[in-house]
Amino acid sequence: MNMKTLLIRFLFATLLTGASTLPAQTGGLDPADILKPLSNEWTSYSGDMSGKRFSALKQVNVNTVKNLSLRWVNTGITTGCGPNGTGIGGGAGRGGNAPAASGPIVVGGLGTGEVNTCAPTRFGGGILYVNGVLYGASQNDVYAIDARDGAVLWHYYWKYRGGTTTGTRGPSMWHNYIFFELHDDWIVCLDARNGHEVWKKEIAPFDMQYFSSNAPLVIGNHVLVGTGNDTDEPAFLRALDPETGAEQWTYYSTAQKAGDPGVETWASLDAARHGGGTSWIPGSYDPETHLYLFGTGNPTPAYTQGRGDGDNLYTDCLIALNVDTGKMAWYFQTSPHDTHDWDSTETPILVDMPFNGRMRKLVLMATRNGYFFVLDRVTGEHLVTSKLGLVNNYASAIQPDSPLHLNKRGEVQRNPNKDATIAGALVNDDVLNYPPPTFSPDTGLFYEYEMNILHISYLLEPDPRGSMGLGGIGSGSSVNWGTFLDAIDYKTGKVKWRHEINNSVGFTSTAGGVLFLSGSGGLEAMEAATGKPLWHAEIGGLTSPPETFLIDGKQHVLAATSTGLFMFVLN
Amino acid sequence: MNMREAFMAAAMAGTLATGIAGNLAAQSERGGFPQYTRPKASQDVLARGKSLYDVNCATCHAADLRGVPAKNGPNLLREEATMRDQQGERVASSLAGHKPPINLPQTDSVAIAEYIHSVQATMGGQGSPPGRNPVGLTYNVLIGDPKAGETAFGKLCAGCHSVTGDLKGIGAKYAEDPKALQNTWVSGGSRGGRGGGRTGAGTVTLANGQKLEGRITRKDDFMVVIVLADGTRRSIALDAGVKVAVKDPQEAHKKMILVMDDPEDRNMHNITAYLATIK
Repeated sequence: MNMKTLLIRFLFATLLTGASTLPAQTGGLDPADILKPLSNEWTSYSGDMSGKRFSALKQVNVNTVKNLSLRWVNTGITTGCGPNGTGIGGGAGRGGNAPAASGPIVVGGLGTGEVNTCAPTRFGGGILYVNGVLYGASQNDVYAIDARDGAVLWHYYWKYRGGTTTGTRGPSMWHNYIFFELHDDWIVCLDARNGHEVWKKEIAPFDMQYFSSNAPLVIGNHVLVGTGNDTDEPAFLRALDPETGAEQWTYYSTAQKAGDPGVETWASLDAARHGGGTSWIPGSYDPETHLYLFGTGNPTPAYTQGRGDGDNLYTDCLIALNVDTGKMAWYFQTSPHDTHDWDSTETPILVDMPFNGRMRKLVLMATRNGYFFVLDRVTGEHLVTSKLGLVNNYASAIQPDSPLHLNKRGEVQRNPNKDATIAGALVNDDVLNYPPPTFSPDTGLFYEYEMNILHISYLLEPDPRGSMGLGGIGSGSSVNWGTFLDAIDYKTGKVKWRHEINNSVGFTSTAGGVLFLSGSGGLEAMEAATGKPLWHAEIGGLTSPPETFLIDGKQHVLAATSTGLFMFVLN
Repeated sequence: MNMREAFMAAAMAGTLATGIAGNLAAQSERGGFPQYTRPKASQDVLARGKSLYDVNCATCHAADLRGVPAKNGPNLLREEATMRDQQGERVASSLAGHKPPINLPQTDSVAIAEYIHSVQATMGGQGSPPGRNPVGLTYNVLIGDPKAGETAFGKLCAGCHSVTGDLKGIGAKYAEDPKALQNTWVSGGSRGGRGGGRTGAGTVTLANGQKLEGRITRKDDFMVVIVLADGTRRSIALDAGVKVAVKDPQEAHKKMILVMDDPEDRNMHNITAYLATIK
């Protein structure tokens, strides 16, 4: 961007906001910095756009991690409720030097505030750390928080209209703008300095039961918004102009009109249009190819008939889109004709690593069906498919070393006998879900969690038209073989070691050789090479993945739990 | 007069207009999507809408609104025209757009729209149509071969179980609900569930050799918590020398399932069919 454009944009933004006389781009986040490898700051959902969640920081390492100590905790941050967001007292009445739990409240939203409930804030997804300030969010609330003492600088409160609510994936930032998707289908652009609205725009019709929780990723001058839906409505990813919210392009996951690619894989155009494939988890970006790699969700109806016998493109796919045009460069379908709600939405990880004797530009991805994939991220060439899980039987037999059931593209072919049936099918649950994995180039290991549950899946809707959304089945009893952290060799897809854990909210690894996770008691650090437990803080289970960055030259670790925000520092 | 007023006038012109009542119960159950929170039309209007729908629409869109694929009639529950319709305007426009057009008086198209909205209000959560989990329907779970099931039982189960001992009369016990029979035996009865084997009855051996027996309620990389027989809670750091053994009551059962599972679920269905004969 040249200086003239910058100036015009600044003047325009100032006019729109009537904001302070500070230049709009001063002290903000340069979009170019979002593309830098994860190190001093945390500038996007995954920390950087590779999705690796691998920090170059080394102060905290396998030897020093035991010296991490609590710098501050703020247990007083609450969500807003009521007409002006101040349903309960926030930080009022706190004594001493406890960090302020509430700042000025900026009110937005289309509801009355009656549906919002005041409660301790449950931060979800990525919490940004830029220039000494944290920007975090829960479903209807966004906060700027001083990273040095945990004081809330401002609080944006959205009066929502209800609807389906899930976990938010957090805010994103472009210069001095903070973007956030609201569950009732709007995106807001806030002034990072005071939380005031700069613009807001409807993402999708609330009337059609969309719900929006994705992090609106910033790539150059594009803001990418995705949304969820459980009533079979068209699924899309959309690029917006960061300064105005104007639409740049929209990519639909399935055919919306006759002749669109993939329409032949559906029972009809109507089935394709209502075929799902939502994008509800942030993807990753390769600046060299301008390709945005992201996963699409399950087809709808998820479990029953009504879609024909085809692959149902492009649901459950890893998709490479040109971010400037919104056109697909290639795709890889992780679950052709999915009948188990196996979203392909886990964040893909982009790495440059040796493969079969030469450096390759790779994308690594594990998906909800419990398979791990390696592809060439430039061409989409398939390289590895491997199976995770101890009881993963939906495609190939449960017994170890049973041959995988793959098509010639390396995609997993389900066993139709394991679809929900009236008499019941004994089949695995999700092996994993959206909590993000991490990859350490130092260990060459991809860290992913693995759940091992078999349940009996009963078909309740035998109508050949199928059900809708996630309807039409019921689950019988289940048996659980435990949850593990898998350290996976990316070259083969084989699990190198497996360590029992309780669950996962996502992992972060570092050049200090440490893997951070949520243990059953709180924040935990492990040796990334071996899985050896090193350190923990008994603060309760985390609600979002742990993060690490530098504050004033010292490495910190941030953990969010259901009771507060905890900032650890290496002294 | 806007469409809402038109529709109200039509309703009032009937016998006893029941008026429009906010559906607040649905809002609290399923959140604020308009399909659940919108005011419901009077019974008169809905009855009229249903009659009009059955005559004009049901052939292609089905009596249950979920479409007739053979007639290219889409599922109206999820159509944009019905989801976004406020007061019949989108439904009317959609009717007029049919080839050939279906031209109805405005009061009729409003009544049809209100009827469609009333059915949408009964959709299940996460997008499923009305009757997502049908109640009272019995499907046949007993599709297996009891004879083959007896053989499979002998190989897989007889080491621990007997149809004349612990499973005596199990078929009679579940005669009314073969699905419950299947769920129960596959999950190992009351021991089934999502424990995963990290908690349960177990032993903690301290570094000095002392053994603590009880119910382990937490075990992770750093700590174990055991509740002793007298109710005492002991939390123990997992330092060198501390050993924890959790007895998994399902251990044998889990091993059996890994052998039993087959790509067509024949063993499971055959054993269920066999157990159903044990009266």
